Amino acid sequence: MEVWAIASGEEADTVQGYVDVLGPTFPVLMDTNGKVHEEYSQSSAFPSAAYPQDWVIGTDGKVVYVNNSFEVDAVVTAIDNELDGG
Amino acid sequence: MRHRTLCRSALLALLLAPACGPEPCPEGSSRWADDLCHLDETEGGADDSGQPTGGDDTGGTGDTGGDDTGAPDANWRDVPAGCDPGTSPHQDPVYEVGSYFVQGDLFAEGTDIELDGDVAWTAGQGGVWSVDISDPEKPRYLGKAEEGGGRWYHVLPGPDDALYVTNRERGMTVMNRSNPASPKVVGETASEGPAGMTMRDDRLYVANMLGSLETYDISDPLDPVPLDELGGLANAWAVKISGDHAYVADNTLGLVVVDLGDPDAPALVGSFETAGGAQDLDISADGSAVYVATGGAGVETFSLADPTAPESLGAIDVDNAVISVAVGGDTLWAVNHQDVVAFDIALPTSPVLVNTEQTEQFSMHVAADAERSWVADWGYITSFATVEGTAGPDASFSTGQVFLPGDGGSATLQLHNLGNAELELLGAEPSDERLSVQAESLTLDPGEAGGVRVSWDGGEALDATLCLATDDPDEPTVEITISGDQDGNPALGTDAPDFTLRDLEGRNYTLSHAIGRPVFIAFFATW
Repeated sequence: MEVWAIASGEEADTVQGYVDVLGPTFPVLMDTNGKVHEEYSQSSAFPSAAYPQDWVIGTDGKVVYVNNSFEVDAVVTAIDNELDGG
Repeated sequence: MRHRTLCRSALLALLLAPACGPEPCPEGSSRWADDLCHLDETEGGADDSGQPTGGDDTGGTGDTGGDDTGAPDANWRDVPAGCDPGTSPHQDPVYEVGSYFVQGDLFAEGTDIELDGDVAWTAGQGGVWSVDISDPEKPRYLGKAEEGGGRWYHVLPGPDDALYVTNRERGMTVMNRSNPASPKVVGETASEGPAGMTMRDDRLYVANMLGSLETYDISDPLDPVPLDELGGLANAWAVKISGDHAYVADNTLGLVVVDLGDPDAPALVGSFETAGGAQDLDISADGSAVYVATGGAGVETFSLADPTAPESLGAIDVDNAVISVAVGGDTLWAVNHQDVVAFDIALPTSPVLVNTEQTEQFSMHVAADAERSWVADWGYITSFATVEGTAGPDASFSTGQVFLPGDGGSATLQLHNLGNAELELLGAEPSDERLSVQAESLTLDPGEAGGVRVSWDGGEALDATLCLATDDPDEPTVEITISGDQDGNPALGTDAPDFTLRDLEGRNYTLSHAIGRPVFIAFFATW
């Protein structure tokens, strides 16, 4: 599976500083003008614009999970369903 | 059962949580927890310890489903029906005095605040601005610096009319604050990485995130002259002085002691490991204790009985990641992105948790005097005070939203008592009768956490609320959103919008190229 973090509306310098401190093991993608974030936000029904916004995209490219709050169990369940061929 | 994170900017903890097990976390991964998240130890079950399923290889374990497996029913009891808070015998020991909504006057997000008599100085996204706090119940906006703007990280009112402002990318800016409604830039020192500052006599000391402590001569406060740069640090975020020593919160090294015997040429004494990445610190008025904000590990107290060799007296966990602390009289204040927390430090080496108060937005920094604290709370500046001699419970739920598997099952949220009196879970009232609610315990001692489990048997899409009542005097009822099947979200089942984005190294990632593999995408913010 893939894990992508997306920084929207932020400068590379700021994100680089964050990454330097935290040292993630997955790619941190730059969405500096916020276009991707905007497109995803519009296609969903988030209760607020606040972060985090978590998505799981299934093996067929369709959205299988979306949440505006952080729910480990729900994310893991959604990913497992996909890995199990669901 | 898995660890549940309690923070708002929490995406990265997902990858840490399964890999981490009960604390202490493995070296390297703990930084995630320290900086972003608190991992609740109370949920650490035997079924997930030692299963390194984090990172991008969650596949293949086969047992990483929801948390409805393996929890013996014997430990759970029904929560009484209803959501009547009754009459709490308690008074909240921490209360809000007054608040000012910054964004009513300018677009700004405060990440630092320092007190200057009747004026509070705040720095953050949007620049440097001042607030009249002479009436703490009605803080009033004064003005902002016309120049600068952008991201200012730390501010310190200096001698006479000087105001020092640091910016990690640009260096230190010197302003004249004779008119607090309109501070003027009078000078700049170019350096990379300056962060927290402190001063004594005619010397200004600046913690530098690139690994040093800078010394400036400020005998002319509006014209600081660099004297020295002490290396040997790694990631210095904040500095405070007691006696002849400076104490530095170094996010990598921990608590670093610096000898100021020669104030013009500080000398490294040693570094002392902290329970989590050190982000801020303050020192008790009598100099006997230093308190370090250590992220997910909480607030760690060190004895300064030997000022050259601080000794850890333990960390107090207060939920989420503690990023700033401030001593005001007999009270120690801490903030953790979502709350302000008060400790009684009448006995400085034995801080006692008084209570926690949720803030409006993202509590980023705290300053305090003997009367009250002031919190830079993103778009707000808010003051808090304590009521002496009172005790009360404080209910904190790990989430406001629960998702249940569409074909039935359960999910567990954590109820944590952050107050200083026993907390009672009085009742639960789901809006949908298909839901049942149980708890591990109906009473929680101060500091204790317990699970609240919501279950259903599946069926028609669930779109419900759950009202929970406690004897928390502050917020006696809490409403949790419960969804099952997630049918409510129009994005589900649709084609995910394709995109190509570049990472920091310039590599391209295209969603459609990942067809065949599930992709977890997390939009996040660095703040």
